[in-house]
Amino acid sequence: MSNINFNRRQFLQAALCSSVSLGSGVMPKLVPNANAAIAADAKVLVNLFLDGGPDMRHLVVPEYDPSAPANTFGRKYWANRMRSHNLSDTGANGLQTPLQRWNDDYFHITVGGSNWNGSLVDIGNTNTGITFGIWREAGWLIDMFLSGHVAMVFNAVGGTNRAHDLSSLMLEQGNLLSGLNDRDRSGWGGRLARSAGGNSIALTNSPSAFNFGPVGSAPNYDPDAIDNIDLISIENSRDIGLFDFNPSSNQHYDFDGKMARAAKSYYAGLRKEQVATAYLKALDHEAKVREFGDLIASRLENIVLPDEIQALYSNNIGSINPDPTDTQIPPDGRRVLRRTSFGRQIRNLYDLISIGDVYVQDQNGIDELRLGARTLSMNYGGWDSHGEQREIPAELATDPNNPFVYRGIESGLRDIFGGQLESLASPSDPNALHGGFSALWKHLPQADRDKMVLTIAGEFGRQIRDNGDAGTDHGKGNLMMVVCEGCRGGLYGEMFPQSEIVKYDEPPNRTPDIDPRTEIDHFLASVCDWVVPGSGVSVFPRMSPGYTGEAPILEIAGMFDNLFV
Amino acid sequence: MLVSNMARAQQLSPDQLSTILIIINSLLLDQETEIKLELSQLENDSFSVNNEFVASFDQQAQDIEFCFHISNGSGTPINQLSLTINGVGQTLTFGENCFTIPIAQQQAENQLVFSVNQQGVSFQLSDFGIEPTQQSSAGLASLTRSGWDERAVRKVLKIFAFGGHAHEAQIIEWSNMRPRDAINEMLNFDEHNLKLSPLAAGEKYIESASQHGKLVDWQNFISDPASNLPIPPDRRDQYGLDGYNFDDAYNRMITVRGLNPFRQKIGFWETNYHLATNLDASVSRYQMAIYYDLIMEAHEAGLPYKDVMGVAAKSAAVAMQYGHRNNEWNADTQECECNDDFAREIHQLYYGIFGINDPDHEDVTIPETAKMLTGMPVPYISGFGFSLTVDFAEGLQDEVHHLPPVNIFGQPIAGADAAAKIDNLMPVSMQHPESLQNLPIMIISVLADDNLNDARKNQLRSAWAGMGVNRVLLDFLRGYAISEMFHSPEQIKYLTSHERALYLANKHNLDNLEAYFGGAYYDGRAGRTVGSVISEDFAGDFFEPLHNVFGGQNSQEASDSALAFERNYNRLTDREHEIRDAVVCEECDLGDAWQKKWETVLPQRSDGNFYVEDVAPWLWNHVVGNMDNYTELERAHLYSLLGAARIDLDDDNDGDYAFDFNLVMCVIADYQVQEAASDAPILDILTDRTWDDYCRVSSGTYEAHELAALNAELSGSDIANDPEIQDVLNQLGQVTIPLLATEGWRYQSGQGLVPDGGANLRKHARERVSSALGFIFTTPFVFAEGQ
Repeated sequence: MSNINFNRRQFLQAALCSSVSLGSGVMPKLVPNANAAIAADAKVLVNLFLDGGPDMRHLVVPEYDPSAPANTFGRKYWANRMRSHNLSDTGANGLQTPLQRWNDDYFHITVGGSNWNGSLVDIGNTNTGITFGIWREAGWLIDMFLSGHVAMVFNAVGGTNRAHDLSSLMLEQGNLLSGLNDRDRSGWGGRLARSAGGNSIALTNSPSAFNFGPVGSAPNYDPDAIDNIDLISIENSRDIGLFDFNPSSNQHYDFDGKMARAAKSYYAGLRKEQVATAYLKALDHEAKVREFGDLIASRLENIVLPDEIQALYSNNIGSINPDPTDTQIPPDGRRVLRRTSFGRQIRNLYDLISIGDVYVQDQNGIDELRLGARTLSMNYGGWDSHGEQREIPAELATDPNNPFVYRGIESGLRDIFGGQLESLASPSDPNALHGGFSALWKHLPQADRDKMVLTIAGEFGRQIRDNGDAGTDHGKGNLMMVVCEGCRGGLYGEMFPQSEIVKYDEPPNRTPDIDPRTEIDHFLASVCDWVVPGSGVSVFPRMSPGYTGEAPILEIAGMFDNLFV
Repeated sequence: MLVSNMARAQQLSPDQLSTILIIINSLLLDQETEIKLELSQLENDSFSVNNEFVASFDQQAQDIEFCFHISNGSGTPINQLSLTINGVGQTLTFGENCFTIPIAQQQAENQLVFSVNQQGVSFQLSDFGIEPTQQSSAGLASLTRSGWDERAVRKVLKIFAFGGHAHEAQIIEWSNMRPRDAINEMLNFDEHNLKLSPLAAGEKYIESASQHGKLVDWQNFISDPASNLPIPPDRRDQYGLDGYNFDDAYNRMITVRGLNPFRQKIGFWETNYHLATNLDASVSRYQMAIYYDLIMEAHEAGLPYKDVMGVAAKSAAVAMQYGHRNNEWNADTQECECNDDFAREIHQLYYGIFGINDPDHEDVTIPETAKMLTGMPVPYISGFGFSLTVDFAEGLQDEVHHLPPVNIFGQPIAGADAAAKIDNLMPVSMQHPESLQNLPIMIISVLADDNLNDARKNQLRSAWAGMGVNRVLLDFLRGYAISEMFHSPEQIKYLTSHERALYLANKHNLDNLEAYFGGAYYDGRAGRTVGSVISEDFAGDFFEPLHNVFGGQNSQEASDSALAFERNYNRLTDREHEIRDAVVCEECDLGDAWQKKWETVLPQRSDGNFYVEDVAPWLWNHVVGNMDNYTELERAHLYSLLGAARIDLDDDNDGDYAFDFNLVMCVIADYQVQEAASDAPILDILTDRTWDDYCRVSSGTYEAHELAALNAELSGSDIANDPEIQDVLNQLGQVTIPLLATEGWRYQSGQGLVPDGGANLRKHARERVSSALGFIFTTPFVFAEGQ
C-alpha cells in the first residue's frame, strides 16, 4: 500500500485560501492580538447571556395596590399574572394572595420616594412616583441598585422576533439585522476585544457567537466574517492544560509520557505545515490550551480560591449552607447554587480578573504569549418558562437555601442575583447566602470591581399575560441590565408603559408583549465606549454617524449619553 | 466464505488461496467473448478473458461513462491486458476502470476491445456498464462510478453511520458498485443491516444480528440477566429502561454489530436535534424510548416525511415535553387554557416556519395551533406513571378539545380530534414556502455540512421542492449522500462530541464483546468508551440535549470547544492505558479469555506477517477515511509506535515498551554520541539488548543532545529531507508485528521465564497497534471531515 501523500500540504493551500472563515479559519499563533501591554486599570466587559428568554417582569414588578383603580398598570399586571406567580385570590390551597406576594417577596422602591437613593437616575423622569418591587431573594441586585451600580434598561430589544435561535443570534452578534443564514458573522464581544487589542474569553464549556471575532484589525475590521484568532476558552481555570511528559523521568518506561510526547511533537510539526480549514480549530486549541494552561496554572498557584466562591458549586466547603437535616457537628456544607456550571463560571471569572494581564515575553521584551482578557462571556440558561414559572416545593418551608429543589425561574434568579453586597451599610438581607455575583463582588478588590462592567440580557422577553400552563410565552421587549461601579445606576426607559394597559384586555387569542423601544445598539455601544473609548461605533456599526440604513430605535433621545460616570 | 474458511483451516497462504480461487472462478465464470451494453444497465456477469474480449454499445445521445472492473489473483501484471476504445489504446489498472466517451467520439457502434498479451494467463472482467456522465438522484447532481470510490464510501459511512462496521472487502465492493446501488445497500432503515454492520468472524454474541432492533426491545435485552451477553449478569440492571445507565445502553445500540448504525444516526438526530425531547424535562424514559421507536418505525415503513413528523407530533413524549398535554379548550369562556410552546415549535422546529412576513403568524397561526393542540391528555397510570400514548379520545370525552377547524397559515385545518388535525396540518406545513426554504437546509446543515453556501443551499431547496409533498426522507438522504455536493471539497463537517465518540468507538472496536464493554472493566477492560467522552466534554447526555428542544451540542460548539479538544487529548495521553490495556484478558468473557482481533482486519502479506509499513497506513485510512493527510509526519510517528520496541525473544517483555518517534531519535542521537558513530542502526539497538543503554536519564536529567531529540518538533518536510530519519523509518517499516506469535515467554514467580505459546508477544503486539490507533485519535483529523 503506497499511500504517502508527499504533496498534501502544498495542495491544500489553494483550498485554504478559498474557504470561508469558519471559527478559527486561520492558522493559529499564540500572540494573536494582545501584543501590547494592557494597563492594570484597563476596563473589562463581562457579558451574561440569559438563554431562553427570561421573564424579567417576574424579577421587577409593579406595585400591587388593591385600592388602585382596576385599569392601572399594577392591577392589570397582577390580574394577568396570577398563574405565573402561583397565587390565589383567596389564599386557597396555601397559596399567597397577590398582596402577600407583593409584600412578602418584593423589596419596594418608589421612584423619588421610599428607598430611592438620590444618586439614582430616572432618565426623562418617565417613572416619577412609580412604586415597583425587586424580588427580595435577589438581594445582591437590590443592594447594587440602591448603591447606584445598576442601570436597568426597560423595553429593550436584542432580538426582533420570538424565535429563540434567531433572536439569540441577533443578541450575541449585536446585530438585529442578522438572519438565520448569517451565522458566520462576528459577535459584539469579539469585536470589542479586537478593538481593545485584547482577547475574547469564553468562561463556558463552549464559546458562543458573542465571542467570535471579526476579520481584520480595528476599527476597520469586517464584522460580517469570523476570525477567532483572539478567542480563548477557559472552562476550568483551575484545570486547564495538556498532559505532557516528565523530562526528568525514565522515558523508556513512561507509557503516558510517550504518547504525550508523540502528540505534542506531532502537533508542533503539523503546525509548520498548511492544513485544510476543517482541521485548523484543533490546531488552534492545542496551542492555546497548552500555552495558556501552563501560564494560568503558574499564576494561580498562589491564589487561594475563597470559600464563598468555591461553595457556589462544591459541597463541604466549610459549613457554608448546611443542610438543616444534617445532624453532624459541625454539619457539612452544601453547594449554594442550583446550577453548578454558573458557579464554575464565577470561579473562572474570579481567577482571570485576579491574575490580570499575564504574559510571557522573550528576552527582547516581545510578547510570546499574553492572556489580555478584555471581554468575557458567561451563560445561564433555562428561562423558557412556558409552564410553571414559579414552583414552590414544600422543602423550602424548612430549608430555604436548599439548592436541589427546582423553583422555576426563581432558581436562576437566585443563583445569579442572590446574596448581599456586604460593603453596603445596610444590605437588604444581611443574612443571605452569597449568590454568584455577590460572592464574586465580595472577594474582588475595589480596583478590580472598578474596571469591570457586566451586561445581562436574554434574547427576548415574555408576553405580558401568563398562559394556561402557569407560565409565560415568548414576547419581544424586555429588561436588560448594565452593572458596574462606574456607571450611573437607575432607570432607563418607562418601566411599565401606560400604553400596555389596554393590551391586557385584548381578546384571548392575541399575544401582547412588551413593545420594543430601545435597541441594544445604543446602550451596548456606550458600554463599548467605556471599555475602549471610541469603539462603540465600530462594534455597533449602526451607531456610526455615517450609517445610512435604518437607525436603531431609542426610547428617549440621548438616554445613554451619561450612562457612565 | 466456505472456501475461505477451509483455506484458513488448512493454513493456505494468500497466494495459494488466490490460485485456487482463480481456478474455481475460471470454471464458474462466463466464457463469452462478446457482450452488448445498454445504457444504465449493469452487466451482471463476470468474464474470464485469456485472449480477446469485446464489449460494444450503440451510439448514445449524450456523453457516457464506460466502467468495468479488472481482477487477477495470479500476479500477472496489468500491462498484459490492453484495451482499445474505438481503436484508441487506453491505460488500465486493477480494480475499477472508467472512461468517459464524449458524444462526439462515439460511433454508430462502439467497440471496446480487450486483449490479453501473454498466453496462459487470464483476467477477470466484471461490472460492465455505460452510464450518462451527468446523473442525478433525488434532484441532486450525483457522482458517477468514476467519482465514487473507497474514499467516498468511507465518507458516507463516517457522516451517516458513525463509521459503520462494514468489513474492508464490503467497502471495496461498495466502491466498485454504481453509487445509487451501493447507497441503497448502505443506507436503509431496516432494524438490521448486515452489510453495514456485519458480525465479526466467529462472533460469539450474535443475537443483535436478527433481534432487538428497536430501542425498547434493545434495552430489555441488554439488561436481561438471561441474555447472551458478555456483560456480567449482575451488572446489567444499569442498562434497563429503569437503570441508571440508560445512555450507555443506547450508545451500544450504535456500537454493537448486527444492528443498523444509520438507523440509529437518524434516530438520534430526530429525537435529539430535529424533533428533540428531553429526559430532563418531564419526559419519561419509557416515553422517550417509545418515541424513538415510533419515529424510526415510520421511517422504516417508508412513510412520507410529513407523516413521520405527524407521528412525532402526536406522541406522548412531545405532549409531556411541551406541556400541551394540559392544554384545554374552555367552551364556556371560549378561551384556550394553554401554553403556546409547541404551537410555535411545531412550525419552527419541525419545518423551519418562522412566520417571516406573515402578519398573522403571532396572533393567528400560533394561538390557533394552540387550540389544535388541546385535548391531548397523557393519562397518569397508577403504579406506572404517565401513559406512553396521548389519549385523544379522552380529550374528546372531556370536551377539552377545540372541535371546529382552526385557522393555520390562513387555511382551515379540520379534524375530529387533535390527532386528525395534526395529520391534516402536516402536508400544509410541508409545502409552506418557508418550510421549502428552510427544512432541507436544517436537515443537511446538522447532519452533514457546516459550510453550505447560498448556491448549495439553493440546490438542496430545489431538489427538496422537486420531491413533492410526499417526499421520503430516505430518498433525499440517499440522493445527497452520493451527490457531487456532499463529496465536493467545499463540504466540511465538524463532528459533535457524540459523533466523534461513537465514530472512534466504532473504529476501535472489532467485535461485540468490545462494543458491549464499551471501555468498562469487567474482569478486564475491553472496548472504547462513549459515555465518558460525552460527559467529560459537557456535551449533554443522549436524550438530554444541551439546548433542550433546540437540540444537542451542535457542530460549531463542538469544534469551538477547547475543552472537548483538551479532554480528548488528555484522555489519549495521560490515560493512554485505557486503549493500550484493552487488548487481552484472562477471564473477562464471562470467565473465558479474550483478545482483541487485530489480526483479522490488518493487512497480512503472503508470508503471513503484518508489516509496519502496511499496518500504519491501514490504520490511518481506517480511522481518517482517506490518505490526504498521511504524510511523512504521520508515517514517522506511526512507524515508531508500531515498530520501535525492544526485540528480545528471550525476555517476557519482548515487544513491550514501544518507543515514540522522539524517543527513537533520542536513542539514535545518544548512540551516535556514545559510540562516536554516524549510522542509525535502530533495529540492531532494539535487538541487541542495548535499547536502554541510550537516552537514559541520569540523576533526573538528560544531556543536551538527548533533550534536543526528545523535544524536537519536526515537520513532514524535515523528516522527508533527513536521510538518517528516512533510514530509521525504512528499518522500522520492515518490522513485523507478531500478532500471531506462537512462541514466547512469560515470567512466572519462582520459575522465571516459562514458555507461554507467544501469548506475551501477541499481547504486546496488540498493545502497540492499539497505541498507534490511540495516537491517530489525538490528531486534528478525528474532529472533522473536510478536504
